[in-house]
Amino acid sequence: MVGSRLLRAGFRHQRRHSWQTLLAILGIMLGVAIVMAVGLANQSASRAFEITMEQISGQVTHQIVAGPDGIPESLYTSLRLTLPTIKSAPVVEGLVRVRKEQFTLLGLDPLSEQPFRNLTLSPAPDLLNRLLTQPDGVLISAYTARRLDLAIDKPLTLEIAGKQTDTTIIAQYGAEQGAALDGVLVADIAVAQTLLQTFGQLTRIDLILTEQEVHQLQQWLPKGMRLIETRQRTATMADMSKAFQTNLTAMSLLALLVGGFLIYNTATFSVLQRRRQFGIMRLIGATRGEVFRLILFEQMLIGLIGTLLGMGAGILLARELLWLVTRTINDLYYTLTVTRLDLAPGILITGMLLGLITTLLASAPPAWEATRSRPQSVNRRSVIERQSHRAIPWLFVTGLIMLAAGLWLATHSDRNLLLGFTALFCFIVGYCLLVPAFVPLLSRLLNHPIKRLFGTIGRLATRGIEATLSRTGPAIAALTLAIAATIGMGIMVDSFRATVGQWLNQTLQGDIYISATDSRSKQASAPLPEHLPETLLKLQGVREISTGRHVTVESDSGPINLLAIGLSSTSYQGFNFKGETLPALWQQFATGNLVLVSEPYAYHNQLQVGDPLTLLTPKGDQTFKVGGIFFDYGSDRGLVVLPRTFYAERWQDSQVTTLGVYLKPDAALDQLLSEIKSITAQSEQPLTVRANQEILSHSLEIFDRTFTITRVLRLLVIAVAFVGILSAMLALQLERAKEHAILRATGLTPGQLFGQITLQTLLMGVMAALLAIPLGWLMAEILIHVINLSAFGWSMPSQLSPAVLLEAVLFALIASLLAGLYPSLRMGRTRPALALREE
Amino acid sequence: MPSIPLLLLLLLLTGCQESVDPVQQTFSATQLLSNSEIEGFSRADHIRPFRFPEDHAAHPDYRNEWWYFTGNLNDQAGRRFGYQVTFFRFALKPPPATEHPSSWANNQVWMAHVAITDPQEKRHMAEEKRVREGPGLAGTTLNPLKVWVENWQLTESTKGFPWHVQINTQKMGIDLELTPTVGLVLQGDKGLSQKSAASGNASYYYSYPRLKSQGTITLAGTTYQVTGESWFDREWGTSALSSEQTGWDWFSLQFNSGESLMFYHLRDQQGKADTFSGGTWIDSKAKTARLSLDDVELTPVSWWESPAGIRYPTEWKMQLVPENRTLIVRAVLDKQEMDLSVRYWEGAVDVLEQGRTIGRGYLEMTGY
Amino acid sequence: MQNKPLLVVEDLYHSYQEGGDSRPILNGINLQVAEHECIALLGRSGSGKSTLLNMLAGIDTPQDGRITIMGQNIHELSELDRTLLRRRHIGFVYQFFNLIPTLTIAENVGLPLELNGYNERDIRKLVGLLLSDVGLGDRWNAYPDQLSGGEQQRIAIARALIHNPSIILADEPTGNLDAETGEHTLRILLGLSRQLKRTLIIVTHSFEVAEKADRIFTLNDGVLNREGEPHW
Repeated sequence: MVGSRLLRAGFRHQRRHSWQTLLAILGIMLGVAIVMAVGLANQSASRAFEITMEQISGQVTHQIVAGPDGIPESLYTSLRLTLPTIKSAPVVEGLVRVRKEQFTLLGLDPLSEQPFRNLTLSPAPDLLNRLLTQPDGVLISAYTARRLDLAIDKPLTLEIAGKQTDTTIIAQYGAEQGAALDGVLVADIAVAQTLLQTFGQLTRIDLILTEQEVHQLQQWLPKGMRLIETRQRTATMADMSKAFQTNLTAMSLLALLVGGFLIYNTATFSVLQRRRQFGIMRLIGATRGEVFRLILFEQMLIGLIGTLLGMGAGILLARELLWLVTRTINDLYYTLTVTRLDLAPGILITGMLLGLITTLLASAPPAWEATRSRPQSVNRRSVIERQSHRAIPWLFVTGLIMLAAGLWLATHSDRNLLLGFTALFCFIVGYCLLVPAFVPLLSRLLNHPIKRLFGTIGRLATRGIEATLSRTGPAIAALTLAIAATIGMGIMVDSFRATVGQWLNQTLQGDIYISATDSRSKQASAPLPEHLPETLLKLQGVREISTGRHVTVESDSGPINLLAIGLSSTSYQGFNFKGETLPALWQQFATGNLVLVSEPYAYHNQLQVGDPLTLLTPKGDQTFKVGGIFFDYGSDRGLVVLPRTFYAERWQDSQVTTLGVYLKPDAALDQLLSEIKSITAQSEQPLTVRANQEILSHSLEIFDRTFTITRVLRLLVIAVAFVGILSAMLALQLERAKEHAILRATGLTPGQLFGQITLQTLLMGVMAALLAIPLGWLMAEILIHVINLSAFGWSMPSQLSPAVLLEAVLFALIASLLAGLYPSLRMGRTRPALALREE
Repeated sequence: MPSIPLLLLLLLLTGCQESVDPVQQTFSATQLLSNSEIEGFSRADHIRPFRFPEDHAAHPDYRNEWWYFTGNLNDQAGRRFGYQVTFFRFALKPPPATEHPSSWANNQVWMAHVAITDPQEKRHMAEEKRVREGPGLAGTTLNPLKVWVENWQLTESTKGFPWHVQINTQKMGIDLELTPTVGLVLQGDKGLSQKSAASGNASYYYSYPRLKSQGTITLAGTTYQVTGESWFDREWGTSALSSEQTGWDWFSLQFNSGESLMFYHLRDQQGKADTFSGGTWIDSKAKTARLSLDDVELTPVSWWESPAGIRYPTEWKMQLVPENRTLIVRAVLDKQEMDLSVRYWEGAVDVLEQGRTIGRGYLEMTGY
Repeated sequence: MQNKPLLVVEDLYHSYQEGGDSRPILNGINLQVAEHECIALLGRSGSGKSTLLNMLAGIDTPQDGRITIMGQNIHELSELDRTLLRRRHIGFVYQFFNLIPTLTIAENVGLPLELNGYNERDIRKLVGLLLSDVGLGDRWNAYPDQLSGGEQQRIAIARALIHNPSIILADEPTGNLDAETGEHTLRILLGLSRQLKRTLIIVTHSFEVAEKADRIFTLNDGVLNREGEPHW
């Protein structure tokens, strides 16, 4: 072990430079906190999903599913009477709201349940009786009941498709502690059918099958029904939000990377400051290993403190992130209630290891470097600078190689999200290695104008940056990375938002849209009143209407979002196709021979125009041809579009989910809007009527909501970057105390010194900002064209927004200005003689 | 056989664990017999005319009801078998006044028990089904008569008889055609069978004491052509036992002479038969004579302990007091315990008099 | 020489690149130093005497020639073994003291002992002895920057001697001190090394310092001459 005197020397150094140590701790703490928070939030969401699926699916191995209407009960009867040995249970499932929160209502037959789930098992002797007979009885998980402060035998008001219905909580299930199933109400199948108004229909039949039974059942199953494997279905669902969650993780790793740079920066400083000391130690006979271990031990201790604090902060932060993550999952993917933070030991350990490994990786190079130099260089300061200048070509070449590797990976990542992120990180690290090579170049470029503007002070400032490249190089690189990260994320979100805005503008061809507020079914959106289209067409000023029906149907690749549309004469313009379409597209479309698929759907299923696509209809599987691939940013799961008349005939479902109203050119929008609103107000169920601009802004609101988490992460990265800039600049300037003292002694006034320091930090900020712009743009390009594409299947043009750049530059300047403030004020107050005496 | 369904019902309501604590049984029995539970149901509180075939079908406004077949069979080689097929119906609540749009909401729950006794191989197999009426998972229809729980069923032929009992499980099968050789018998007082003191603590009860049976039974993959005689019991009501009654011993015996005997003991907590015990003597022309507790004396002769540790008397001395005859009723196999949701003993017996076999029958014992 | 040689230098050659030419700074140095001997290397600034000293300590490597310390060719040793040899057998005194600013003077002096694996009790005892020897027994807990130059050099001497090294290398030990302090410091260094019977090699540009040694060598144009012997 390293001797106690060596360690003591290290600790006293840290104590004397406690600001530097504190900032290093802060940096790693923030990095770890963000990774942990995102990790925990993600894990909690996934765990909640797992628990929900586990408890809802129980021992279920397979399910029989059918179209959007579900399965007729008679199929279950016939299954029980013909294949009684197969374990089967009927399930009715739907969506309800409890105090605005969305819940899954699960209707089960307790008598068929025993081999499947234990949701309805309870010791209360009369519970089963009540469950089977009480017309409004529901069960709620003990955890949810506690969370919402709901008690047994108390009424519970459910909102189902916009209507209020009273129920009674007859029992709780599950434990209040431990793995909690949240957001699921269980009721008897009769109660569920009554609440959801789905008499005679089941959502699915749950099964426990052996290999042979699978075959037997396949033979028996009538057309229009499908046997699916539960595990596969669950995996498909989990996959939906995986890309989103991976993205979050990657962004959080970016924060850690910035934090890592910060550690590297501080470690380098801390080593450089003590090169003489380490030289002396080596002279006295400390071995390289001893010095290396000393530095590493000391830095790891800093890393450990930062990591532990970061874990604590991460848990606090995770509570805040959790609901953002859950909200986005609910908006984009599936219903999920997560209110419990799952402090998974795996994530905690990973967070801790990441913090420590980052520290190790960041502090090993300076520690190793400190042991490489020969002890005799102790007396020669210039050696260090010479060495760091000599390292530039090597760094440059390594950087270029990493950039090339990043480029190769980016072009070959081919749908692999992980490779995409590896490419991104290659780019970042490669670029940062180039930074030290650019610094002398930039400082020489700036030399003349600065000298002209600020005279000698200006010259001192620029020369100082180049002359101490060993210190300024990493600092500017860290700065560059931090600023670039904010630029990259900013451009990505902005481009995304702009694209969605443009797309919405094009898609919303109608003037007024009507839809039902809430659906009770997971498979189909709520239908509109039957006669509404005719009523609306009779209104003065209405030119025509378009109709749409949103449902989920089964296909070979799992459930598909299907939109059946009755097009108006101008709705066609709402479709913007990617590449070529089949000839005579709309005529062909009208016949029902071909379907249109959205870009994400085509991407995920690797479909091209002209490829076949098989959908399950009530009459069995039917194969369609893909007629065109249209841009759609509504869902990353993808959308398949069919003509409504065809759908209505084939699926025996003539209901309409949305109506688009097209006005005559001279019609007054406001007047018609209020007319339509008064018509829909008479409907039994609440309907939403919106002018297209209203939808546009509403959609963008939802968009912003789903990207809140990205924005929050960006802010957090900025916070880490800010700490990074502050610590790098502070370290740099305080390190130069002696130089500044000499300058003061030579005759610089405190004001001039203040000017010189401020100018120098500002210059570094400017350099970093300048260098960050290309990297930020590159990051945005990769995020948009590689990562977003492979994660979501969306292609979009990147849009360089000046606001993002301006914001980044301003942020860099403010941070560096603040960083220059403290050392210059300190120097202004200190007597030069004291600083000169310091070893 | 009075009240097995009640106990089964309790089990349904307590979550259907494999083994049920007897304490909980009595506790729940008391609860079930409270007035609040039976409110809204019709009661067996008066003598009523029976109408057929209507009364063969379900009476959903009474709380419980059953169709109970037991029988002794032989294959062509003379190998002996016993069987039991029972359909139980329970209403958790009185049926709604108007039909509910959800088929699951009619409060009717069904259960079925099947057992085969194979004394030669010393085998006794039993199985159970338990479903809601739901969208036709179980129920009864008339014209033609059908009683079913999933794929287990009783159907009639186009001319009425023979009835056809079909049971098919992974372990066993029963496929029998049943034709009565002795006509329908109303038990108790013109079909009203009082089980305890309170008015309405009774059931409507009729039997076919002798059904010529032929068909097949299947055991462990082997099918046997069988013939023999079955007994069919029909009973429905809303409440029966008082809280003091803890169990019963029920005998259905078919004598070689062509006569038949149904007799049961209702035991109290001390194990003594109470005054509502009784039975019916049926001659070969379906002429009946009611028997009271004093007419038949029953004494356990030897006991058998089941794997669950319950002791059942599997051999009885039966004294027909007025005729001064002493019969021995002995199980053909001790191991005929029904180890299902509820545990009871139901099995084939021989009837002996002075060492000579004079008949066969079925014995049911609960509450031990 | 009555004692066997502790340190043997044979045909040492080293040159620095200067533009296109290589300027030899050590050009065939031969030297034998016996145990308990005190020798002085005299030379002008830039004559290569510090380079020679660094090579003797094994922290600089000659381009040609051999240095044998206690029978071992030190440039054939691994870096680790060389460090261990230095740790055990060589003590250093420098012109710029080279104390570790974040350690107290007692900790500075105790450092070589700790590196050599002494226990804390022995370290405290020896540090106490040495600090009294150099007249700073009362400054135990002071930091180097609280001491004057002469005091710092005395601490450096104590640190160089404390682990009982065979050879003490001193590089301009008085170069950074005024004449009086330098004289005092040198007396302590010579006195202690003689008293402890150590081999001492002093590099200096001052003849007054050099003349206190047993033998004096002059380094001139890369060649080492015994003072008092004829120049070739």
